[in-house]
Amino acid sequence: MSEQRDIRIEVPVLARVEGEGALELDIERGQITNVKLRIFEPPRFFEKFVETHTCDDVIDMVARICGICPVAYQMSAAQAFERLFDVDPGHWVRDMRRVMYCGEWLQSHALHIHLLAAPDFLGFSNAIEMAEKYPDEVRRGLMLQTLGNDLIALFGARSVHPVGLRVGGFYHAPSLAEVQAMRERLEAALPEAESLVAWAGSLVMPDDQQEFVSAGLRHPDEYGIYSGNMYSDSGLDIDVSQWDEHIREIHMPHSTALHAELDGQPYLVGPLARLNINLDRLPTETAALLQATGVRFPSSNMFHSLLARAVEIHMVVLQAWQLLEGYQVPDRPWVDWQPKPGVAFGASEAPRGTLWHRYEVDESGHVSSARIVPPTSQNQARIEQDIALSLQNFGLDNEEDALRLHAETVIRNYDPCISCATHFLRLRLRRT
Amino acid sequence: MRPALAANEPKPRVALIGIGSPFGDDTLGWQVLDALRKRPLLLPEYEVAFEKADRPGPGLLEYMQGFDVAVLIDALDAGLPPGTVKLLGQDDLAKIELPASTHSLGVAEALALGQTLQMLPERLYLLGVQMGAQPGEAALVAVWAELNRLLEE
Repeated sequence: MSEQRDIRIEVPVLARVEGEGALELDIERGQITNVKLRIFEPPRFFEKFVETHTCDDVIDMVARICGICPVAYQMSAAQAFERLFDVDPGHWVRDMRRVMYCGEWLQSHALHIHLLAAPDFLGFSNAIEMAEKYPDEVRRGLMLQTLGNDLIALFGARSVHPVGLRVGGFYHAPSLAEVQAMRERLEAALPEAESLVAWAGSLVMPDDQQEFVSAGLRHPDEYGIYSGNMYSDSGLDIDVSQWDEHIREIHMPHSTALHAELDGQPYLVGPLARLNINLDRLPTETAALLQATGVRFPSSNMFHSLLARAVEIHMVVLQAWQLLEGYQVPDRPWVDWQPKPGVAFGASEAPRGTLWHRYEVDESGHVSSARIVPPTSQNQARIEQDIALSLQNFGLDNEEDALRLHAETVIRNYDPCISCATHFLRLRLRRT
Repeated sequence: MRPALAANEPKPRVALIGIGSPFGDDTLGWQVLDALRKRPLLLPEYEVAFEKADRPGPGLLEYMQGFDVAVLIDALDAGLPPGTVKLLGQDDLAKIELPASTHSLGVAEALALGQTLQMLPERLYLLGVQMGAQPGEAALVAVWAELNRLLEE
């Protein structure tokens, strides 16, 4: 269907995403000819700020990049330095870092599902409207988010920009009593997480099948959270130090965030991609819950991202509870280390996807150069591709308001953190 | 006037919550809270807790759980003389333009959500302090006096 007129739609701000940007969409003779996710968040220069600082300082500094996923920044950085310095912090540190990371996934996913994404699929314009009809679900979201925040604070002293991590371990180990109290709360939350998976699986999603590459960390023994190889369902399986050989960042004039390509193609990171490539790493209990929903994974329906988040919530509540069993306060929660000059590589799975760091470190242990590749910039090319495909599947002859809402839903589905990627939605639609 | 408490009755719990962030005029809520800590209220029958909240979003609802009274103190931009203290009611809140962006809900949105979910304390007050200058002694005394008056109700 073609319309011989120009149409402009302005959405001053895209609600329920972090940051500011716009969407530009041209439809000519029934075909999309231009999709640009314009990001105009000013560059934030963090990679420059960290130069000349010590590795431990850098761990605290990079936590300031994001209020939602500071733990991810700290974990990627700490592991990069430890790898370069040949430091093995040991089993206790590794397990407790995973627990702390579980807290970040829990709070971030619980917020996104209940307050940001679910209103789109239940026909509400925001969470406050949704809370009138679904009060128990929204209360569950708030409870899980608080639990996640408190789990971060248990190890990091506070949930926003925590300060607990250092090269070689933690500054402080929580007391046995604190851990026992947390473990009781995690156990009490397990049935809530179980019902969340069933609820997320029951939501009616658009049947929007697309071909895309799923990428993320994969670990030999566990679901990719804290560490692993960079892996994709297109055959990639590399150590994180080989990242640059396959992933290229490109500057696009319409965005202050870099686009990224994996072997020349857009690719997906984040919950759906991660679950697609880590299905066999799910705990048995979580896998059974997913199976019971009747939704088959791997999935090529981007809207199954919400269910993937719910599945990951169950997994992290279960794993945190399990890893804290038999907790003992260590003599000292860190190991000693000596700096070495060289190039440090580290990656971990932020709630929104793989977060890769590269640092050059001098002989005194100061950072001389840094590169940080966050998940939202990696997804930017995929989001543009998704908007075009999804709108075509939806039908370009729909009314403008419907097209705009659908495009916004597609974008929100990624839970984009534009302040991380460097912020969102003014839609200019031109149809001729 | 509140009736006197019986000897064994637990004291009602009051949360004084300064809302803000470390930046510019937004620190006002925190500065007022810090000053209030040093100036005990005239109401020994209350158990008072102080909390500085940094853009708490829906976490604000969690802060208030278990309290009988919550008083939120936040910077206000209403074109009043700097330091003016204004008690905001539900009607005022409804007029506040909701920031539509970002992951975090604003105070007005969090309170609207809390009302829908019946998660608000029995008594809830929002004191706005007009930004534009450091809170002077007069503003602090005004907040302190308003708090005492509210809790006496």
